[in-house]
Amino acid sequence: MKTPTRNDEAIQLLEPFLAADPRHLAAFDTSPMGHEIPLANLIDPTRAASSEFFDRLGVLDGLTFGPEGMPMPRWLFYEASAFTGGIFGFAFRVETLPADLRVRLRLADDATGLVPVAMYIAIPADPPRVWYGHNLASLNRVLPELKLAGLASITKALGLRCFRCEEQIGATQWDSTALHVHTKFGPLGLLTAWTPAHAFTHSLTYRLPVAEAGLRSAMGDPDAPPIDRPEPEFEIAADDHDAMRELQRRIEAGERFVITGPPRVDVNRVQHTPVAVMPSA
Amino acid sequence: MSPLAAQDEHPQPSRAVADPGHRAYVICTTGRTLPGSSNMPGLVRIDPWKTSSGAFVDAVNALQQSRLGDLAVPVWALYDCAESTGAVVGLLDGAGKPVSMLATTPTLERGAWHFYAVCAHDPAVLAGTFSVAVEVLRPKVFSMVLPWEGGAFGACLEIGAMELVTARTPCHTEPRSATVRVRPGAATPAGNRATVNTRDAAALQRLQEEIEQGIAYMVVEPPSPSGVVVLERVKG
Repeated sequence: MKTPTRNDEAIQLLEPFLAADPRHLAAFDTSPMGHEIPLANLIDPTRAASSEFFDRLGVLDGLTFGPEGMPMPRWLFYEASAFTGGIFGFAFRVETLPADLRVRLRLADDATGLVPVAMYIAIPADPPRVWYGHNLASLNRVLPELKLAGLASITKALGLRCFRCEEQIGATQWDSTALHVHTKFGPLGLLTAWTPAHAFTHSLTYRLPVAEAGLRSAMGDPDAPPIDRPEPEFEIAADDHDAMRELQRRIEAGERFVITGPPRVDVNRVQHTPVAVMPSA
Repeated sequence: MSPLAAQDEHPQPSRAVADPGHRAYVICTTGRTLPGSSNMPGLVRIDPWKTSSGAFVDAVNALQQSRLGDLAVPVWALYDCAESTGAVVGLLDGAGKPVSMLATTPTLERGAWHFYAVCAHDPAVLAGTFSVAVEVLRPKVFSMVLPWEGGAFGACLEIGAMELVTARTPCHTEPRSATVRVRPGAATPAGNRATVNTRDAAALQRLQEEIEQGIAYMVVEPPSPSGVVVLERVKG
């Protein structure tokens, strides 16, 4: 039985897909939470015929991240995504899309097949248990007429289950709206708070222990068990780089912190993220 | 079954790291287990999750951007897909400056790694860079995408037996690339010798179609200056 989501209306119109090396398929759950991936939607990146689908993944990524300056080169979809890990997502059939949307999605007049509108990409960090999520994309904001509200969270939840991920690592920025999605899954342990090795030094690196309650809650399952979250003790403002550096210094000194929940946005549109101190290991 | 699958589970690297004047480095998280690191005294470890890594990682990114151009790994992606997930390995000159690099990511297959973004200021140190990666990670098998022209076939073939996974790779930025799997220390299984001109698009397409039909090929020799590659057709 399918676990209900916050947007079952959209999910009923969409088809799940998985792009992954066929050598690895046995490691995946191809019916995550009852959302079965049709055999025809298991995309083999080593086959020439998959090229068009990869074109469309690039369009999805470009529409989602292009304006923020972090679009993925095509080869990364192959080498550091499908061939090494997995790309899970949701797609429409071309035939179900109105003509104007086909143009905006750069589809040829005679195009057929799947058109991805959301994807979660992760690669193994300590296989098979620990994965690193490096791309979560959804066309909800770009194409609101598709009514894809909540699809990013649903896609990440089902992607984590599809990958049989028990612990997820990821990086994002303190001022990113993605924090609203990631914190739906539960408290995020902080691995870095100030990250000079990243393209954006004001990035944080987090660790999420993946739990059933977090997945179901993030998907919008009304019967999801509650998530246990510690009380926040302070906030990190997205424009306070000194606070990020100080938090990083304390992490490197051995202290442990978690982001307890979603950020709040103040009247100046600055994001403030709640943090709690955890007992040291 | 892969023609490489039935061979030795724990191969040793085919050659020792031998680059006088160079020390090896690895960028990886402190928790990352490196099976061969104890055999490499003087190995410099850089933790990308520490603030102090910034300058060194900047130097590595400058190296790859100068050598790989459009195919350089975006800085965020190198952090996500190699430094935080697997490792970046390479060689240092006497002043501690990175002179080569190779990004690595583990795959879902136990002991299998994917290698990419290999580059060096001096091509002469590329073989030593591969040796460091194989010595430090001790992969059962590693995969790579190699352009038919200019790809590091020779350096990889010195390490072990090379299976062809794709002959054309249109899902990649460079469709005229091969995807290969290399098993360190393994010998190429016997089969029927074949040659393909990799500059002949139709011939590469036919080879790709055969692979997709389940026929297995091993690369025996790197492509010649005229583009001809020697293969061994083996039982798939």
